[in-house]
Amino acid sequence: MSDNRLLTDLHVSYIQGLDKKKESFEYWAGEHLRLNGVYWGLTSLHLLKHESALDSNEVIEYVLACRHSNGAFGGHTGHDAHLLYTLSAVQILCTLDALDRIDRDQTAKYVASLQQPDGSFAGDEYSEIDTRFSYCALSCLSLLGKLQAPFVDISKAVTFIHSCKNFDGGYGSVPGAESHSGQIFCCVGALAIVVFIFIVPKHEKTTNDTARAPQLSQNRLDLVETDRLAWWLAERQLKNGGLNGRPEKLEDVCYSWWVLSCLSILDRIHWINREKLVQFILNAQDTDTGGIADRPGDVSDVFHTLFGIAGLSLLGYPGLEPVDPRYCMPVKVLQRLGIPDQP
Amino acid sequence: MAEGSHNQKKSSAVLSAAETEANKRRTKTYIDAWAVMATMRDSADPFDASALDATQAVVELNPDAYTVWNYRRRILTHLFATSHSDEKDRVLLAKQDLKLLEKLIRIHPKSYWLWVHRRWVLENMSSPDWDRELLISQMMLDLDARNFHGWSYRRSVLKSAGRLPDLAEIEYTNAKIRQNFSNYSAWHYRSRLIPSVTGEDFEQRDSIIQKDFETVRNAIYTEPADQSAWLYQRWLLGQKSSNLTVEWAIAEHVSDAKFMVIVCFNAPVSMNPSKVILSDAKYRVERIATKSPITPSHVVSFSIIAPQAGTPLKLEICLKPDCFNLPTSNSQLEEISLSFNATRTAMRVEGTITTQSNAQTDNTLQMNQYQPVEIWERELASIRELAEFEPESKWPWMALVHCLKELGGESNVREAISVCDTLERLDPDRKNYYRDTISDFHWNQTLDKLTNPSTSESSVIPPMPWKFTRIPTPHLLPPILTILNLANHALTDIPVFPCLRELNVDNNLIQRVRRLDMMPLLQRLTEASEKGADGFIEFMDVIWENVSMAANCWLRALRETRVIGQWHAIDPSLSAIEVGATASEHDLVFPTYHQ
Repeated sequence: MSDNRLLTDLHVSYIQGLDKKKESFEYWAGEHLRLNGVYWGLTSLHLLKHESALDSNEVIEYVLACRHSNGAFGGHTGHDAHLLYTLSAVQILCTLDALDRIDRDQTAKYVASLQQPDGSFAGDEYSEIDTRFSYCALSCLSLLGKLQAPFVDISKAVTFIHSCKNFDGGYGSVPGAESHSGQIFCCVGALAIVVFIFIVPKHEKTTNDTARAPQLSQNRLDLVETDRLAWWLAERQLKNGGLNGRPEKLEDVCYSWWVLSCLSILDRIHWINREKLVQFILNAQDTDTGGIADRPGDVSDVFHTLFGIAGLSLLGYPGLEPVDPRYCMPVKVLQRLGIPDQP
Repeated sequence: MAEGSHNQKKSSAVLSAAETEANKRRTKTYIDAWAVMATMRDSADPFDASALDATQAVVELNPDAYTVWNYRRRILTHLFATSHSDEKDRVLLAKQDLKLLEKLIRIHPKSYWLWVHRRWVLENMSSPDWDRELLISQMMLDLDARNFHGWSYRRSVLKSAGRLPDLAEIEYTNAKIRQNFSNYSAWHYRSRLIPSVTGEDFEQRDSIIQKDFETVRNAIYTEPADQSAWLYQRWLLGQKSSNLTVEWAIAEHVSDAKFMVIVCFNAPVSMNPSKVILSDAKYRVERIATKSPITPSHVVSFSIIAPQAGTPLKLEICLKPDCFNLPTSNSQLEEISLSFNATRTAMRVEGTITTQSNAQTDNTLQMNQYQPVEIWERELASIRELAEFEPESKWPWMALVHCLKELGGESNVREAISVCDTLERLDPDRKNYYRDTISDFHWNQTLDKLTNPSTSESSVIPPMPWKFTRIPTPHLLPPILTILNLANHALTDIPVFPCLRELNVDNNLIQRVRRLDMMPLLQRLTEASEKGADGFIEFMDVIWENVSMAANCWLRALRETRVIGQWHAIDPSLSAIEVGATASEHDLVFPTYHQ
């Protein structure tokens, strides 16, 4: 199955048709992460520059229907609150410029309530700890414009992430856990996101009022062993051009995101063979139904569709909206929110 | 992962009628089971006797239905508090769940939610059988030695059981490695276990480490293409660690009574210059309208105002721990003193650095102590042997470069560069990695040449048959150097040399400028591309109020008729330069801030 171009229209109709496959078991079994699915589908459409392929109002109403009284969101209507879905909800509303439909403070407080004394984040009240949740929390707070005290102790959050760093420069889910590209994305992404910005409007007069004086603290990527980790990430590229998630594992399109976004943040994308990766992703398209699969020949799904498209965008594939490697959202959405570009 | 379908082959075969029917039934069963559960959950009596069964019917079909697990936990909590408050009943109930989970974990070994529930059940038992749980983790790892859920579970069971990591645990990893050398998970675990088990007993640690060198040698000779052992070997060889120190500090008279102080550290720091302590109260640190960024970087610069114009810079600047923002360092930060003793307002004066050394070595996580040279050389010899035996395998060559780089010296570096050429041929997908590695070797050699007493103020670094592709440590350029010519290399970013007054990067491949504000003394920058107008520069991450000294260079660069692209300003209210326009001297393309 060798394609050499992105089948945009086919993918658009694939995404539009997702909610209609109600006869399959997978549709129902995947209900608990439907909100993630909407984020994956919607972001794919925006990156494909087909922003109106889904009805924005319908999407917004659906997101709000997943909201709980404490400002958190569940994976679907009637599903319990969890940080994973709260992030997706906020991402969707930001992309659709509808953040004003929720109480940002309230959602931020929910996220803040999940921070543990050691700086880590739980996913929900059942206290599963994982750097995935550190990423969700920091990204979510950043999008809400609340990445600061009292919502979060950034210093402790950073300390926890740092404690998950391994001998190979990578990161695991908790201190001691093996390096895995998904977790590495979460940690490196989080370290890239932690930014405090207070902007001084143009031509403001000199002032000695230090409380008002803008502070600028960029990210904590200084904590990353950049060359060492970037090399480990570059080694994820296999002979077939695809990327795997950790040594001796199979290539998978989703790592075109988890690995590639880190390489982008660390400014080392040039350490892999970009053309081969582009071909790998394109070959993983389903030329019948649309969508992108985990590897060529497999069944496609919306999760891999997003990460394949986002990967192509990072690789400079023409015709796609630029994507921000920290947030996996269109760059222009973050600019609209006033979030500084990744340095 | 339920998120995406993994390893699901697309089949063009049409499903048989029986298969389609079975799918339909399964779907209906699930939808019905969910409906029953939801009705019960949302009713007035969610803790009805059949509630547990209702949740079980759903999770057996879909273990990722976390909402149903939540409900099940609420039911159990209720039962524990009411009808099953008796210890025996509680245990019975808990064991029921453990049995259910064991069944499901075998089918779905990578479902996060199952492990969450298992841990919850155990936490709600008064005496969980941790030995049994350890056996379960062992079973998981026997089925799949790379299942990180299995490893995580093992570690969390030991922790919950109050068992500190011990030699037996190290032996478990040995067993796993003997089963299969290609067990990255086991090697990784050792890198954490060994320091934590041996603690301060360096003799014990060393004995384990030295045996590991042998194990690794076996592994790499048996399977030279397997990366686990090679990466572990790097860990064994160790990493140098050092306390935070100052590499150099200079002060330059910039105007009237003002001096620019630039301090270079050996690691990126986040420093607040307004917190430094000056030995003479007649001087002061300039407080500018916008606080200096506390972005971590190797170089910090700030301005000192002398009591009056013409006063030479004669004072001590003390950097105490509270100027720094290093939340993750274990080491006690030293107190650093910078002494400037100019007799007149010389343009540039170097500071004398004294540090109070009371700090212990920063035990950066997961570093192994740096092995003595003999060990490096011994490993180098065995790697070299293997490389000659398996010249088409890249890993021995990569390890060779790593060793040669550490051991240093001209002939080692020459060999390392030539090996990188070999690597580029063996592993063309990663050619830019090897090219950057070669460039780094050349840069370090260049630095060595420039760092000698007779260095003049200016230097031209001509392109050799090779070209610099990057400058990894611009802050290590000796501060005496004020003019640098790096024309005709292959740089993509303008390197930020903090002490330069003039920089020439003509005929490179420049696409980006970052942190131009970190060159506060820069007066002239030239970047002309032979390619002409198709050159495109992105300005990123610049604190504009700090580049006013470099205004000249900007105008100069802009006058080179370059297409100026994407303007990433800190202040979004700044208007972007129109693409294609060149700025005249009257266009202020950066904000005017009071100095």
